[in-house]
Amino acid sequence: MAVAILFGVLGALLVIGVPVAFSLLGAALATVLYIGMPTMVVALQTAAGAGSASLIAIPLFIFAGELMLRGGISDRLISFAASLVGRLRGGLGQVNVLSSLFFGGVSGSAIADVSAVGGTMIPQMVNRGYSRDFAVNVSISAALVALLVPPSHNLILFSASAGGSISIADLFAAGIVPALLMTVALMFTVRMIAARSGYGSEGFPGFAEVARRLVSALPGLLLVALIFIGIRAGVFTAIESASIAVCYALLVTGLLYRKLSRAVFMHAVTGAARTASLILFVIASAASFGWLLAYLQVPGAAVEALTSIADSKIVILLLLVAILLVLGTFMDLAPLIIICTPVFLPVAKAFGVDPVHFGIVLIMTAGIGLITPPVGSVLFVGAAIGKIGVTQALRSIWPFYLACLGVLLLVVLFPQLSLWLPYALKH
Amino acid sequence: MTATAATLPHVGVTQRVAERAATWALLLAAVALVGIAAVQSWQVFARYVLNDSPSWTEPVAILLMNTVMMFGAACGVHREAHFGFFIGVHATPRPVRMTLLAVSRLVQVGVGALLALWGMKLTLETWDFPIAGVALPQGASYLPIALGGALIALLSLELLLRAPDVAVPE
Repeated sequence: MAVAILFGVLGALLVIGVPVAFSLLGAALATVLYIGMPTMVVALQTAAGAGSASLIAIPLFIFAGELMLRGGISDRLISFAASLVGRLRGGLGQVNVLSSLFFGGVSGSAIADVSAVGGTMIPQMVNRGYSRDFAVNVSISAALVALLVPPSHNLILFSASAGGSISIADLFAAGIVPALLMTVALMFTVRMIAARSGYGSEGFPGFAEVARRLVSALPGLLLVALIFIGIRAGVFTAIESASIAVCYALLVTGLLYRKLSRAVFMHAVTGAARTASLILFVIASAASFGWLLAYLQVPGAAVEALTSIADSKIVILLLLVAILLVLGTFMDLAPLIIICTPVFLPVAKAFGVDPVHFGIVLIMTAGIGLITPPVGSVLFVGAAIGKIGVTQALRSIWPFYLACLGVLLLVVLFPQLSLWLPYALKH
Repeated sequence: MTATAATLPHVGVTQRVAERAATWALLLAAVALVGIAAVQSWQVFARYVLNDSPSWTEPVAILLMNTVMMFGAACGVHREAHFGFFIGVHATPRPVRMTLLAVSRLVQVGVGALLALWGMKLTLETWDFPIAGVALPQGASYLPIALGGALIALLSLELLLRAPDVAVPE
């Protein structure tokens, strides 16, 4: 009965429009009252959830991403990507995808990526005769790559939601091959659609120009290397790495690119504070909910229930992916990670799924939810930048959607795709 | 003629005060975020350059993180920026929507008030105990929860009491 109250109240509050964080606290409070525990339990769990040191990296990475987003790095990365792949069929579409891989590595945020790369590329693509919905769909699907490459704060969020027991360095390494696969799949999709729609290519600027643009974009690309190598080699902790990323972003955008005016800095810091606070508030609110899940032995019951349906690791993983895809359609990325990890991770582990592999599958699946209506925050941002309605964007999203699902399926079926690199770097 | 914020001066004043409070809350969260970056950067400098890792940086960063979280969340209440599933509510007829929004805001008032009460209780109960590694009372860590919770309750209450024509989006 207590479990029914926990999930029933949560579902009811969400449906009537109560924000996720308040719904989680409301559900936990109702359950604690039903069980007869003192309500102070909820307070203590919430305070503990807000007091976890491992979370400090999240606001810092978001801050660094905001500085990079507004500080001029995206233009240089796009210019470098254009010199590399602009000559391929569907040139500006290819540039859009590759730029997202580069900028995703700098910002770690799909919203930041679609704002920075889409904001620049969509108008250019439309001016060059690409349809608006094509330009929007390339941008929003490519933005999902940002969720998988360092310094994706979503991977840190997953690690924190799993109780901090999963190595952030392993997660960062595990996301790289799936991110590259998704980039290749999307570039292939762009090429196919471009051939059918008659979209052309850009000229090759010459090797000297490629080198010049590489030098210009190098400070941004170096940040990814700095974060990744620093954490992987055990030189920095994730928190130290995040603070270094902020200092580096300030130096590059302020001193090197000279784009960091007072107004730009204020926009970056208030934007980051707003985003970080909303995510942290959900994390703190979910702490008492997660504690009740464990207290009521929900993960154990979920394992038992799923064992009765299937006994194969792959079938269970596919089942979890199907559930996450449905939930991702309605729920935003951060709440989905925070709520689902404590329930689904024990199930995955019970069936022998590697937690790092599961983390990458979870982020990829939840990321696809970001471009799915009715919530799909990245879909909405992309459609707004492209000045089209969501319905128009959905007309031609399917090839991109299928490409993302195809890569997700590959990663589910072949865990080595995510686990090989962390293993290779360790040994 | 339907009353709006413009035709009800007292409502306008309340809204203006709430807007000002939300802006200051966000600015405080932003300052705290810069503080976290500064504290953690010092931690890196001290550890790698001075070879003397300070113990006070982590508790101070957590205190600042709580400040970012609670004051940013309070601003998010006023700006209605929190994560949620609102599409169902917006699809309902206007009278139903008004009722659901009122219930949602009432829940937020309640949760904010509870956070304020719990936060204050924890603050007072632990004020006399120092945080390990830094000359700060443990209660200071809970103070942002108390103050932010109170602000969440007040800003949600302002939304709840605001004239329906202004408060209910079409």
